[in-house]
Amino acid sequence: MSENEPEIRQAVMDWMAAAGPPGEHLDPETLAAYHARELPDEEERRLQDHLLVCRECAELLLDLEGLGDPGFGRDVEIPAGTGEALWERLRQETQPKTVLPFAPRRRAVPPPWMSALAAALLVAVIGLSVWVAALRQTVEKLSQPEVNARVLELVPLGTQARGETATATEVPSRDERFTLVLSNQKRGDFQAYEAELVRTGGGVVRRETGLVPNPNVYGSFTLGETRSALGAGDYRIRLFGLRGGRRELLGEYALRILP
Amino acid sequence: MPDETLVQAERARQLREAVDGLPDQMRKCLILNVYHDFKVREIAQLLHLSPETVKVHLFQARRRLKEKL
Repeated sequence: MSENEPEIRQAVMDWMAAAGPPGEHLDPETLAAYHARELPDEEERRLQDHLLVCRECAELLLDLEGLGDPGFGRDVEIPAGTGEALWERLRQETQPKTVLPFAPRRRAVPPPWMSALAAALLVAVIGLSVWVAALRQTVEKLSQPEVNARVLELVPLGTQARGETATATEVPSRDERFTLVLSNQKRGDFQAYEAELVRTGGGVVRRETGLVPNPNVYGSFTLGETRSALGAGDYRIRLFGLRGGRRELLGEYALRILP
Repeated sequence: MPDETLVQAERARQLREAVDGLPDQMRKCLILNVYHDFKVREIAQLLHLSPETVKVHLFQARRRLKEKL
């Protein structure tokens, strides 16, 4: 130390006294940025000015600088067995956890009415299927074209010629479709015509309204029928003329559909 | 004695002005060393300088102040 050192130290003390208080400490982010040399020059100079008057920040920065020192921490003594203890702790932490088995799920018992409902639905479905199949079969049968469907001319009962007996017009067994021509000998100015098909010993099975007289055969009416719609048996067909709200019987015809 | 006191006060003022007149980095090295007793390596870390530069700054700062005396 030179002989002027005390005077130099005193001069530095005086200069520091004139520099004033250090002010607020630097925040860690700024110190870290300074340590990483990421601050602009002007801010770096201001930070260094603060380090001159704030020993606390200067020591903090030195600690930060020491972290990057390759020899940092070499002088720290690690107790014997620390490595083994660490390995043991790691083993315990990485051991698989005991998995609790799932409790067996209880099978839900359906209520009794559920079975009854299911059975009823099953029966309904089967019944509907059978009905639909039968309906489809009928439709297919009816859809098949029948060439030269038989035409049967019916005369009213009681109008047969002398010597003829009133017999029913027969529909042969193989005829599915047939056309009935009802001859009518009663003339009249009727507003409309209709016919009823009555099964012998039974009631009306069919009613045909809105009949129109055939233009070619004067006074006759045509009915298109099918065996499947009527069924085998004896029938009476009644032809009516409508006038003034009243119905007048024009003729009654006998028909037999052979089985 | 009053004259001696005045002379000492004058020397102190001149030295203080000399410290103030030192280059920025040189003055910082001097203060960190004299006032805070930081070592050359620590000053180098604080000011982002090489230890050799710090040594040169400290040497030249003292020489300049001695010249004022």
